[in-house]
Amino acid sequence: MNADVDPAALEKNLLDWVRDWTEEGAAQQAGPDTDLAGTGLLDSMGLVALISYLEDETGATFDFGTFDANGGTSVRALIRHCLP
Amino acid sequence: MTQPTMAQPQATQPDVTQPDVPPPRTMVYDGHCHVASTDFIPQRFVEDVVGNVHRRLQAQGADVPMRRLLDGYVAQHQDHDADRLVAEMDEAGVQRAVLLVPDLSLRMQCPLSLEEMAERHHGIRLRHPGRFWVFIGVDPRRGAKGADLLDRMVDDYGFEGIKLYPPCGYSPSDKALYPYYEVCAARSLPVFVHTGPTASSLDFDPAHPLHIDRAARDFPSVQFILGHGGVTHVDTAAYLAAYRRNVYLDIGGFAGTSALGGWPRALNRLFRLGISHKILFGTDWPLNRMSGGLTRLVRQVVDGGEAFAGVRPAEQALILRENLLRVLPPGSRPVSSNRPGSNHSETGA
Repeated sequence: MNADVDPAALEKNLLDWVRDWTEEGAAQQAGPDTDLAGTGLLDSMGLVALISYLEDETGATFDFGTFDANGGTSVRALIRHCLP
Repeated sequence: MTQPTMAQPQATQPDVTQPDVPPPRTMVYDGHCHVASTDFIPQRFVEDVVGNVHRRLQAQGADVPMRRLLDGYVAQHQDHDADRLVAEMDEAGVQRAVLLVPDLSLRMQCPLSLEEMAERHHGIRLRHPGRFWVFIGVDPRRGAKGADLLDRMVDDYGFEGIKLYPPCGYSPSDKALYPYYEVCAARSLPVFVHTGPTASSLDFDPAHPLHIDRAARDFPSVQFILGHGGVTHVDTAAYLAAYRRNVYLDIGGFAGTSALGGWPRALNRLFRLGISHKILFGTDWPLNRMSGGLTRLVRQVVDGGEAFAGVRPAEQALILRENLLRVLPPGSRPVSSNRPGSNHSETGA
């Protein structure tokens, strides 16, 4: 993990983004390990937008080529993949 | 090959406690896959797909730079030898899959020629023995030389079917395709026909499923599969499958549908129309890859409860593997499947 990044704050920012994107309150109970795609909170477009936000927040590049979505697409998994 | 569409709307409160579940133990054949490699996709096609994503996101207030979207798409298409696909199939419990190789080269500039793509897919099969059938692309505008090339590729590589991409600008009932269908009839090769929307610079009109009707009547011994027929133009594709004995429909891309209530419910409605003997399971991998991969998709269909609710196990087996075996050339079926009941010549619509 990049030393300049506060992981807890980043998780909170991303979860806030998800709640803002869904707008229906469905994401209120979501946590950092909630599978965003598997639970239907985000569709493929929402995931792309969230990952772009993650890149903006961290200045890092998300490697789509090596990401394994079979393990779930949670905020924590996305951050871990983007900032190993 | 189609472009990604939105997943289902979140009409109900999602279950955010969904646990991880092992892959299904049911034998599954995926009748609709592509090698996720930019070697087989024209740059223009990529730009069309990504441009559509960009416009959708922009309209929703997420102005993701086009360059970033392009890079993300390209990064997801670097599985040039299908190693990752095979790993995903292993994890998902998919024993075999059909690799579709559309011929877009008369409409878009392609990185490789059709012959080169055929050779590469042959190499992929050698690298992963027993895992893939290959349906090679044809375009009627290649004329008699194209039909000869098809004959040769089937001789050289043993490909099991052909793939048509009508949005390139031709009807699947175009008489110029009949020499190709003669080859298919002589060799028992099925014809997989793309239907429905695709890259924005291609033609949508020829992609309506009803365009298959003339060819299906003129070549009753050839099996035609309506690609995405269980996802777009579903009512038309379903009645064609119900009443034309040699027309089947594929559900590739099902996880990207925006059907009200979600795709499992839409699949269940399709599975209960009385045409289970004509539906082929397919994912259209690498479509929806970011949304969970093959394991999640297969598990949700096979074990999720909703898609197969009220569908008898025998019908489930037809959809998940047996129907594909019925349309494949007899010699290409796995040995354990070469039994009398899986011969399409013994069945009607």
